[in-house]
Amino acid sequence: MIKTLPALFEEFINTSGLNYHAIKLSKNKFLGFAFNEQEIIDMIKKSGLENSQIVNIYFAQTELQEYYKQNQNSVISIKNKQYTLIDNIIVQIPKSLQSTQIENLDISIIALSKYKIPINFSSKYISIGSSYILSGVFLLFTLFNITQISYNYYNSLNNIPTKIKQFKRSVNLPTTMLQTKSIIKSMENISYKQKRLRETLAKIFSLKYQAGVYLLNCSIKNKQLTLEYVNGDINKIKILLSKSYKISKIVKLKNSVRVEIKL
Amino acid sequence: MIKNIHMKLLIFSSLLCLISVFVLQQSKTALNVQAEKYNNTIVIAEEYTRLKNLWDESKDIHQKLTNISKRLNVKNITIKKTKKLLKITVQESSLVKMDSFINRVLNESFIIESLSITKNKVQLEIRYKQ
Repeated sequence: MIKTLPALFEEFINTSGLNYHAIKLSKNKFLGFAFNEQEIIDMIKKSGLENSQIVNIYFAQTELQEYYKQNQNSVISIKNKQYTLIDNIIVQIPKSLQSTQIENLDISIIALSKYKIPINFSSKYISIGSSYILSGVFLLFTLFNITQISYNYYNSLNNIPTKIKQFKRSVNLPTTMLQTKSIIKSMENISYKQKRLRETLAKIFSLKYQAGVYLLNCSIKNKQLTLEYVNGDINKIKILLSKSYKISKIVKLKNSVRVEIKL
Repeated sequence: MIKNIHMKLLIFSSLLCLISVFVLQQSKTALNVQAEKYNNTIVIAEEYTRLKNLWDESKDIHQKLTNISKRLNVKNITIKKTKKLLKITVQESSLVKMDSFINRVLNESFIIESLSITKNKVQLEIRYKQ
C-alpha cells in the first residue's frame, strides 16, 4: 500500500522528500499519510526536546477519531489553532474563518491508539537498511575473530604446551628449563676445559723437540700443568713457554728444568 | 542517547567488533609466545642432546680404553674404578706405542681430570660419572 501512496498524492502535492504511512481502516479501506519527516524532527528540535524524550509520534487524524465520534462537528482549539472534522478529515480552520464557539481540548487526556508514525531519528548520512547491513558485517567479522581467538587460545593454552611436554619426554630433557640450562652450562664448561687441555698438550708436545728442549715429564691436574725438561736452557724454555702461557714457577733441578704453568 | 534499534545495533556491533579485534591481537601474541617457547625448547634440546652425547659416554669408556690398548697391543694397562673416576695406568717401554696411546685417548671425548706422562708410564684419571 505504501508503494502506491506517492502516486496517489502526486496529483495534489509536491511529493519530493516526503515519507508515507498507511493505516488499514477496514478490509479494502486505508488511510494514507504523506509527511515530511525532517520537518517533524526539526520541530522537535525547535521545541527544545531531546529525541530520547519522544516515545512515539501520532497523527491527530487517528487520535482524535474517538473524540469526534462523541463530539461531532465541534471545533476544538489546541494552542491557539482551531480544528474541526470535515468529511472525516481533521482540518485546521483558517484564522479568517475561526469560530468563537470552541472547545479547549486538553490533549493529555486523549487515550492514544496503536497507530504510531515511524520516524527515523538516526543520522541522515546512513539509512536504516545500510545500518543493518553494516551491523551484519561487523557481527560476521566479530564471529570470525571469535573463531580465530578460540583457535589461538586453544593452541597456546593446550596444544603447544602439550607438544612441548611430549617433545621434552621424547628427548629425555629434564622437567624444567632451569635444570636443562644448568646442565648445558656445566657441559659447556667441560667442553671448554677439555678443549683447552688438549690444545695445551698439543702445543707442549709440539715444543718437545724444539730448540734442543726435550720433555721428560708432563702432568696436568686441577688447572696446573707441570713440565720437566731435560738439560734445558732455563731461559730458552722460559721464552718458549711464556709466549703462550703464564709461568707460575720455573726451577732448575739437578739435571732438568721444572716449569709450572697455571692454565 | 540513540532511540532507534538499528543505530543501537550498529553501535553495539561495531564496539563488539573492535573488542574482538583487540582480543584477537592479544591471542595472537599469546600464541606467538608459546610458539617461540616451543622453538626455543627445540634449540635447547638439540644443544643438550649434542653435549650429552659428546660427554656422557659413561658406559663406553672402559670398552673404548680396552679397544685402544688391544689395537695398539699395549699389554700393561690397569683400569681402576672409583666412585666417579676411572684411574688408568699404562706402562709401556715403546715410546711410539705410548705416543699413539696418548693421542688416541686425547682424540676421544673423555673427560680427563688428570694426566701424567713420564718416560714409560702414563697415568690418567677419566671422569665417568657426572
